[in-house]
Amino acid sequence: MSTATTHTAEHPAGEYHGGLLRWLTTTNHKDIGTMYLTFSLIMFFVGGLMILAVRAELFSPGLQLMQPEFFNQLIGVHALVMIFAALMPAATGFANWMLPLMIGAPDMALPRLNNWGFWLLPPAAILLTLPFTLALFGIGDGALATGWTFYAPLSVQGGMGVDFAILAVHILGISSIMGSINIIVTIFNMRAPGMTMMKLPLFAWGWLITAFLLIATLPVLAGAVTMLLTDRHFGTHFFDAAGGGDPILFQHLFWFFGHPEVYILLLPVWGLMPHVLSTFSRKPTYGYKAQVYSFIAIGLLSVVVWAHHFFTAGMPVPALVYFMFSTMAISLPLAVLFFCWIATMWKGAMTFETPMLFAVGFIVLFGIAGLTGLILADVAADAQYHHSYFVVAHFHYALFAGGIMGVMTGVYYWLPKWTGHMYSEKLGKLHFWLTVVSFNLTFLPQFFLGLAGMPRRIPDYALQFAEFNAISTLGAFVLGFSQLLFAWNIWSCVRGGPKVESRVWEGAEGLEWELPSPPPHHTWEIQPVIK
Amino acid sequence: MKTSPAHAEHYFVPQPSLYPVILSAGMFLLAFGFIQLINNFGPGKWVMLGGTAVILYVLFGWFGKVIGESQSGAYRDWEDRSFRYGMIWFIATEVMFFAAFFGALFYVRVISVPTLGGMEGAHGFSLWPEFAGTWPTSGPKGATFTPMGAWGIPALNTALLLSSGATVTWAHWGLLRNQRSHLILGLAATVLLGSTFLGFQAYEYHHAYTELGLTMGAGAYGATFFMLTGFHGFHVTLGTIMLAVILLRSLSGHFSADRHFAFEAVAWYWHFVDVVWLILFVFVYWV
Amino acid sequence: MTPAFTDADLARRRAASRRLGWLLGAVVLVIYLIGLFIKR
Ligand code: HEM
Ligand SMILES: [Cu+2]
Repeated sequence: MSTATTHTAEHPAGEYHGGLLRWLTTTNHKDIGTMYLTFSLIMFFVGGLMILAVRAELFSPGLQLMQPEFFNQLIGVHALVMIFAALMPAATGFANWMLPLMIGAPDMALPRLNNWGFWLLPPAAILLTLPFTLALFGIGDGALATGWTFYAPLSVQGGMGVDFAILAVHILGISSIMGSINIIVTIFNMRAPGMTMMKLPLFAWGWLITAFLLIATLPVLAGAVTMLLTDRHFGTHFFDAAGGGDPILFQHLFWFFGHPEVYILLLPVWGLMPHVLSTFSRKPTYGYKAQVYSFIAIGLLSVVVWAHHFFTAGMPVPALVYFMFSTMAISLPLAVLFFCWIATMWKGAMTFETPMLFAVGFIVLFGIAGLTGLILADVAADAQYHHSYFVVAHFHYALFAGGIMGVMTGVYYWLPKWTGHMYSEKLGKLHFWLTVVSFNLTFLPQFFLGLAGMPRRIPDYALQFAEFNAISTLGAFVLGFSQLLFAWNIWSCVRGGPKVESRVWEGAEGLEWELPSPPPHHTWEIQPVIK
Repeated sequence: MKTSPAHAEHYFVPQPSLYPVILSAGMFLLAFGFIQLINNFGPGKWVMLGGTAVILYVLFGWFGKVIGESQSGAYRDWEDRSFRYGMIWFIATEVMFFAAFFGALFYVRVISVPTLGGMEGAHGFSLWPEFAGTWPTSGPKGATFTPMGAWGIPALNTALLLSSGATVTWAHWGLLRNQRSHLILGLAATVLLGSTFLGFQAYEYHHAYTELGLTMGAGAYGATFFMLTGFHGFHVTLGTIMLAVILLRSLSGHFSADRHFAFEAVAWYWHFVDVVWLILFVFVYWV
Repeated sequence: MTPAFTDADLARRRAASRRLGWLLGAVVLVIYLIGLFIKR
């Protein structure tokens, strides 16, 4: 075993640090994955607290708790935190922990870069939230008040919170790009011998497409906010019609990134679903190839549909028609995925452990997101729905029921593998039911509010909207506090609990289940050969 | 899925390192200082200076470490491939970064300026008297200026960059054929051409600001002109510095005919910067 | 840990998921057919 000796020669025992230094310096994919996931959970609560304040304000008509400016700041930072600091890091944490285990790699391909990718996140999170604190000391007037979309000209005129957000987005972007490059290289270069691309776990396929989308679109967002910065401080006129520019140019650039971003948030989850569904249906995944091709099709389509976010901003009719039909076309590959998920369960010996509950809940609720998306994609109908609470409900079915609940599926599915302990099924199931019920309580009324004409991003509203808003706020508080169960369940599972075997779930297939639970610090140093 | 432990190659996983965290801290300082500077609060300049110092420290340390590892033979074909894929996809992100600015250029030229110019005909009123939707324009707002011509310095710069692409390829051939003098001469020539390009561009900017009235505030033309040429110039600067490092490494005997990822990465980067310039020359200066 | 399921139990679940599949399919079909008769 010559490899064993090289191993000790390259890693003298003294080089490993304990305590804080271990986390600051680590190049180990499992450590880095743990940091991403922890960070994500913390920021999930930070973003959640902000929006609970918003929902409290919206509990009844009139201004109760805050000024409109502060309200606007809270919703903008809430969205940026949830998207960039909660959902995306969770997916990257999954990739870090699981990709090497699943494809039989000794680690991620570029370990130091990997560590850098993570450690860019805390500074960015500080930049996002610092303006709130500075405002307390009389410096500036708080965070950006434009919503997460930075639309010009509001963002050109806004206070220094916009600058903080621009710089935060730059740093978050660098972090995501480093993460994506690492994941692409790992998938291309680190697979175990014999694992061809068409034997790759679907989770890896989902992440591969995500990484390509990030590489293709994040730099455009970086470019857009850079132009915003120069418009704000260096006298350019990119988004100023008075100089020959156009505020709508900003919308094009933003949504060229923004639409693919929603698939960036979801593709890792779509990749994870078939694993969970097949495990708990005790059946192989249905339609592997169809799912791979759907991922690719969705990835390609997602970069050519962006203008459906501003149909109402004014566009030539042919452009409207093109963006409407190309948007609707995405539902075809998406429907293929739904079909494959359902067919995987059909005739399966299904059992409903917590991850499976979340997976099935995901399918139902995310289905609503897709169907309401189709409604929004209709140009004529969107003229009514745009910028209403209907849109808010749509994307929360997509991002909370699709994204966050997908992440929860993964956490419950893999937590025993990571920790070597079983979490409490009882608490897990309670968490699931509380989440599903309160989620619908929060967001279903928002569809009706939107249809009735309540605009989004507004701290006060007409009396006729009062009942639905009160229900929504009640739901939101239950939803928010139920997540404490999630955190508690994770915490106690990390601390202890019944020991699990390597194949945690009876029906689970794949390389990751051949390793002990928890896996040792270094795994697959000698790569397995796939036959 | 059957597995068996037959594949015994060992991948180089580096030891724990503090550089990434320090680099992130440096970038935080740089960003925070910059925000202070443009919003006039706090000791912005000094914070930025501190951040830059930290970043430079890391760049020297981290790259130094990688070069050391490379020289000690820690990287073999497997690791080499990781670096190559990594660099390729990094350049892909840079392509998309420039695409955003080119997108803005095409948008204002094809859509917003003509639309603003056509207000009179379409709606019977014009937002600004005497505004014609033609390119180049400073737009209705901003002082009058003279646009930059293509056939003076820009054409010369095109020639400089194109020949630098040739010299770096010549250096590569030298390396492949083990003719170290070609390698070193070729690299030195490339660095020289790159720096000359930058010198000319600095002169051009000076000329634009002092004599042509062409500034960043000169409407959509000035904005796109300085954004595109500025970011390109920034990339040439980085490329020239990287080439200089490669030159110094070549002088101290690094790289061999079959192992020289760093050289190739920088050469790829340089060709990329070259191609961007060609597109830029056509659409910013020429047509 | 997954509680152990007997073979008979798993077989029962397989049958149940098949029945449920057909049922859901039928419901969707009915909704679709009803939709054809709804006039605005
Ligand atoms: C068949 C699938 C989908 C279609 C046809 C669709 C269509 C649309 C349309 C047309 C809008 C713009 C509505 C408006 O502002 O008037 C929209 C908004 C949005 N969608 Fe979807 N969507 C789909 C799936 C998704 C998914 C999967 C996600 C997230 C993972 C998502 C997230 C969002 C978000 C975040 C917004 C609003 C962004 C904002 O304005 O702040 N959508 N969708
Ligand atoms: Cu979209």
